[in-house]
Amino acid sequence: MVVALPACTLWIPIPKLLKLRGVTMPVAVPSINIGEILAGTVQSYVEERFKRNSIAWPILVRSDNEVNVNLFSQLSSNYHSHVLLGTENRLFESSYILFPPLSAPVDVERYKLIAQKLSLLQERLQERGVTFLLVVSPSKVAMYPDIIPQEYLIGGKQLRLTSLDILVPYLDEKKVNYVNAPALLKSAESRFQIPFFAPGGTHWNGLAGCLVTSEIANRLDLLMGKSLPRFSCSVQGRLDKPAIGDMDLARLTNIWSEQRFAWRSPRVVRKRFAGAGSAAPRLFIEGTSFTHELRRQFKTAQLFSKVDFYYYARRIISEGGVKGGRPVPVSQVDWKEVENHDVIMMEINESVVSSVGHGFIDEALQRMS
Amino acid sequence: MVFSSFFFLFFFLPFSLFSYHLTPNRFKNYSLLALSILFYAWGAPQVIHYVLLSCLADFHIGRQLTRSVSKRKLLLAIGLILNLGLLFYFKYANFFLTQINLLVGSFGASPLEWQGVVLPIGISFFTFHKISYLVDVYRGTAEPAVSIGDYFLYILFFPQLIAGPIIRYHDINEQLRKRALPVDEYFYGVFRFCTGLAKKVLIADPLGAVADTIFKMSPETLPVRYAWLGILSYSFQIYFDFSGYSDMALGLARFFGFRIVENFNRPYLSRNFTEFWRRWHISLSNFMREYLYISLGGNRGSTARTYLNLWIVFLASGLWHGAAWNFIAWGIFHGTFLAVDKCCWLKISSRVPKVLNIALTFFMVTMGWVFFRADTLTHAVQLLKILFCLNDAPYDMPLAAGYVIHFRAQVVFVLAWVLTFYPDDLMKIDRLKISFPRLVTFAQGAAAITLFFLSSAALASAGYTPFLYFRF
Repeated sequence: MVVALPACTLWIPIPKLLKLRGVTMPVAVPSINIGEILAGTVQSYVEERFKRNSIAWPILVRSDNEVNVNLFSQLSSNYHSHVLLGTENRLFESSYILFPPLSAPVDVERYKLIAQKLSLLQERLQERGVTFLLVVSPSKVAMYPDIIPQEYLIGGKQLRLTSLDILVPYLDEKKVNYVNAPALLKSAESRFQIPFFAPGGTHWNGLAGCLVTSEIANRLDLLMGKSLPRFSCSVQGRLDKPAIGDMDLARLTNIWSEQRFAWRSPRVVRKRFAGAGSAAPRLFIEGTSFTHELRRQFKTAQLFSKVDFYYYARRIISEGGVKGGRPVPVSQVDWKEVENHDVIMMEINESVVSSVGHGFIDEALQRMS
Repeated sequence: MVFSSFFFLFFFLPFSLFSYHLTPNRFKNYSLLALSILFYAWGAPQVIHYVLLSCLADFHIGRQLTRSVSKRKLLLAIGLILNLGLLFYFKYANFFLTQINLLVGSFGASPLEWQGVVLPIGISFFTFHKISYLVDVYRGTAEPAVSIGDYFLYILFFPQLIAGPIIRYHDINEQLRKRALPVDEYFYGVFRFCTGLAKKVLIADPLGAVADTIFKMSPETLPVRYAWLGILSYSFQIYFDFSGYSDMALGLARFFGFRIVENFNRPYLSRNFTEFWRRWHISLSNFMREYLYISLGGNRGSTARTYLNLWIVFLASGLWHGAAWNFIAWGIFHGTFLAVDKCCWLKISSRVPKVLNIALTFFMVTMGWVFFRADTLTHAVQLLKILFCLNDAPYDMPLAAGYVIHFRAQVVFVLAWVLTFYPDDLMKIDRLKISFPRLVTFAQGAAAITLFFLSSAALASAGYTPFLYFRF
């Protein structure tokens, strides 16, 4: 009877609270024919669907993960887990330490070329009256390398966690407009004494977002010669619960006690010291998931009249989240629509600076040539 | 479908138990047969017809063996040729054709064209069952099956169909006709099944992940310490995996009233290779001894002939495990050391302390596993060189331990050592059972439930690695 229970729950929808979080590859539905049965694809599909539709599955997955956290200080038995438990109960994504490896030589020429292309793009956009700005977002593990547990350090040594230090001299040499958020936040650390990443989040928090947005506003004000809203950021107490985005990794752990990674997010207060003297510009920004926080900040600060977000150079999102966007491969971008913005920004994380633009830069240069 | 899958545990198993126990007694064998055919067809639909047809042929040969006295030898020969022929075709044809093509190619000739065949799962096991049936009937050790259903059930009985134990026909024929199912047997079956599942999922699988990670590394950059970790992990993986599966098979068989032979008896506590093969894959040893070694003459001939017979048996064992040179090398490795045992080592080792004997045997068996685990013979030799620091350019590449063996696997590794090597007389379960029967039953029940839950949980989360979001 006990082992039959999971099968008996197949017809009961899995409650939302129990559902496992995170994105997995969808299970391909095979055609029901002799060929597929002989190949075993129908059977594999039935087994996989049985598992995913059973209430027992999320209960068991969460239980196993809970055992791992409590007994072994790890999140999953799986060596390919995308989330790792770091020191002091902080979470981070394994991809941030998977590359570049310590022993791999750095291809300096590649970074030179990136800076050259960015400079050329900036120049071409300037000719068209569009301001260009590169924003480099920080990586949680690069900002707080002590988060990495001992067993993931190679011979006890620090891994190379960023290539931004290689790129920056070339950006300066080519006079590319950029905001170095990691450096900015490092300098602000002592002022705030609050981490810029939540224990249970992979992205920068509201305080970091505010500081970087303030710097973006300052830079654009100078570059565009417009009077954009400028403000300072301060912290006044704490919110009662984590802000949106501060628990994204914690939810992905799929454990019963995900609240162990919760924190009370800092209550960020903006103080405007210069108002907008002219019409707010229109922004087109190509970037990663770190751009979501910037979009929230841009909206609160009323920095731009319109924000079009080109998510990983794959989907254009004008309002709402990723699912609300429309898929647009980089080769099919409407360049007139892109040029019809006052500011073009690119956001890239310091851990993967070499993939800045995700193909957008080359396409843009080609279209503008 | 494997025993340690979500679908089997939570669908097929309860479905089988319900179906079987609700079936009237006189139809129970047919119910079990239907479930077994469904089990096999689910995983191997392309070849089920080969299996059923060859079983039909063997059943009729078996019948004729008792009816036709003059042609008994011929019928047995036909039966053996058909079974071994099928095994050779499905399992070894690809390998031998590849070797022939390599040889032909070295002379500049064009290779033979050949489309590889699909290997029916469990063919090595059910072929041996069919051979056992024919030989037992031929020798008169057992009466032929009363009905075709009983014979098919013997061959296709799903608990032992895919990975054994290899049940000789005369060990089970009476149970096919009549068997009881006392409640305490049933609960013992539950205990064995759950402990077997735990051995496989909680111990073998984590150590297997460690071994897989290490064996995937290029031999040129594999650090020595990780090579040792890899082969030791594999030694424990193969033991806990195979013995765990056998425990599950034993437990499952009990659910249907069958008592089948034990397949493992703490083999790494063996003091020599001879003892190892009395404790490891016991059913294979029994089969090989009864149907091959004795048929070759056993130890009735000269000393040289005995060694040759041993060597042939283990060459066949190696080949039976896999169609590749490294398996043949493994078989020769064991055959050689068994001959050494008979020749002189058994006498010498009787003067060596027990602990040293056990350590030495474990070490040598582990070296044998290098051949078993390696992808090719060349890979095996490379690994052995690394293990003994004999490779040309010893390389100690910096490697983060967390990618190779995380903390849970480290704990499991230590647990594996403890469970493998604790002294036999430490846990006197049988004596405790006599003194405190209810307590032992309660403890076994609690252990079974806990292990089943933990194993199911580990199984459920094994393949689940979600992303934070779709990046594309």
